[in-house]
Amino acid sequence: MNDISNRTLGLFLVIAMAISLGGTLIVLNTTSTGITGYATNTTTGYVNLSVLSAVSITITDATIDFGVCDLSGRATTYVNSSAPNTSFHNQYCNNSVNWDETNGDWITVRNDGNVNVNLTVKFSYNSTDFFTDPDNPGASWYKYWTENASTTPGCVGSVQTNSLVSVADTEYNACTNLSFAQPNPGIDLYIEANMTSTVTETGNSMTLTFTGYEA
Amino acid sequence: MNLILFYVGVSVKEDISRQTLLVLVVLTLVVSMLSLFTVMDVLDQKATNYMPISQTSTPSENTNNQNQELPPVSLTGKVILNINNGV
Repeated sequence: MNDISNRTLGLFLVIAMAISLGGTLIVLNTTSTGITGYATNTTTGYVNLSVLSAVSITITDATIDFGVCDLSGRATTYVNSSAPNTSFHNQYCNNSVNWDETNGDWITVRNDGNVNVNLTVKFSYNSTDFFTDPDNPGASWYKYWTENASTTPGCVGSVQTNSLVSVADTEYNACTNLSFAQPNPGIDLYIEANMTSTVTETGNSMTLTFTGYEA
Repeated sequence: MNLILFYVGVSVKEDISRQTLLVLVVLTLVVSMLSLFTVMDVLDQKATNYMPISQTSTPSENTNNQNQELPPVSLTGKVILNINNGV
């Protein structure tokens, strides 16, 4: 049996090249319309993503401090924590000179959770009982109100206008829907008080309790 | 095509040389490898382009606990107001 010639081997190689090229072209044409490498038997995928909801609020500068207010020489003395010393007679309260806020002294409440909250506030005294005024009971009072801390509303619901506190330790509105969305400016709470010259003493210190509920 | 013409050209003459045969062997290897790489590359691109970012991306079951009310939180502040009425 004779060995095959180089010419025959060359023919085989040419045939091999033709088969290789032909196979490539066939594969490319076959896969041009279909999807290859794709899992076709799974039509549904599942992604589990858990986000923990949390109600959380923070308070900045938790104290409104009027200090000692001098009531002598006037029938009534009105003070207001939202204004500088030169207005609303805050100059009669000796600590107003220490208010570091530009326009007064207030309490800022922010929502730093990830759900909006309904914010309430309760006071340890009602508006009149905070003042001891035997000669004119009920004539002296304080009120509170809230407003957005910046032009970007922190409260997307309703803030509270100037209100008397009728009942101590009872929740009153501060903001019906305090947003957690950035920049999260929150709301400010202010206090105003009107005192007669017959007030003999005050409760000195009143506690405010802010409570945030999921809105 | 050139290879075929080349082969036809030599086939009518004498047997091809071992050098010619070697060239054909190398060419065959090159063509085979190019074909293989071409097919692999095309298949890979197709697989990538068709990653199943689902056509049915309907949100699956929402299992958050919206019905469970979150516990409220409380913080305290303070108002300080004393008086001096000259008495």
